[in-house]
Amino acid sequence: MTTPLANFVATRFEQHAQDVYGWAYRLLGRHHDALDVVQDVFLRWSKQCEQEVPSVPRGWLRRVTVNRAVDVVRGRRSDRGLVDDIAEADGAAVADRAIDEEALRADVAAALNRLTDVQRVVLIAKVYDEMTFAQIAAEHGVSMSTAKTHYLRAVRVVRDRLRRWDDRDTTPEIA
Amino acid sequence: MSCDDFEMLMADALGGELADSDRAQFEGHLAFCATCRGEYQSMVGAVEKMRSLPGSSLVSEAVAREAISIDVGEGRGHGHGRGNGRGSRSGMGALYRYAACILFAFGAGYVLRGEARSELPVDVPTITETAKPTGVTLETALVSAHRKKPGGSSLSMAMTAMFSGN
Repeated sequence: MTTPLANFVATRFEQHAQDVYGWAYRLLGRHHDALDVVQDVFLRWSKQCEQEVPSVPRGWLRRVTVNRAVDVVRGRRSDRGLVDDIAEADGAAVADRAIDEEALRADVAAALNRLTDVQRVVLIAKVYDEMTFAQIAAEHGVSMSTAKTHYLRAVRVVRDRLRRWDDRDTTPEIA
Repeated sequence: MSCDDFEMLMADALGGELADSDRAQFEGHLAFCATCRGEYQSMVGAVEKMRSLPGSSLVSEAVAREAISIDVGEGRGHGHGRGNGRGSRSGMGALYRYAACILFAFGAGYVLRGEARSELPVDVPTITETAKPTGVTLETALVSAHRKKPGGSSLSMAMTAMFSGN
């Protein structure tokens, strides 16, 4: 026997859990932190749906998930989880890569923190979900040119924040 | 093509949506203008760095569909083990155990706050016989549990926090 509320939450979870986890994991890099964000997001989602169901659930979930993940990254005071991960890793090269990834995530989160809500979700939708500008514009109720402007501004902020990584990778090619 | 016109096409190019009809002009300006070339390349680099962050391994739709067969009526609460290394299947299991926890916690929270609906599962009210609600909401209890143990909050910690009032 289930309640309407339980059924509603379960249905939404079934539809979007992987997306929420994927966005959170990409920005956090830790399974448990990502699960915590999933839990937080769905609690908020359930509360939100008691008042008004968002017209674009996936857009709402993306925005809340990314905002929550950025908060978690900003709130990290110790690297205990990272140390645990490194302890489990096999060899210095793996440890170096883990440290680099953690630092890069922190920089990406810092850059995302400087963006507006809309810029942030446009960037995530484009970079990680590979949505088209038309899809993004429809999802967030803006014009395509506005979506493109948000994207360019967001990428510039990220680019400025990640400049210190420039000497670590290869020369980019034309997309 | 002016640099302003190039700017308009740069979003398309960065987003992988540059039209074939614009490509020649875009690449022509890119070869001609060192400033725009540097700007574009640095932005491509930023996007590539973002994409270099490893994503989730929990992407198998088939596994997800299989794991979705949770019984929301029973609401069994389970913790999750760290780094068990059992791959995506166990990962989705943990994810859905979380869902079960949330459902269970919601049911319990409604009952404890005296807001239970008549159609709640019959096994949930048994919790109220021993519970001493303190007025702390489920949300604040979860936040409290999370603060006590970041990255490891569990249903039991949340319920403990809710009953103890902090």
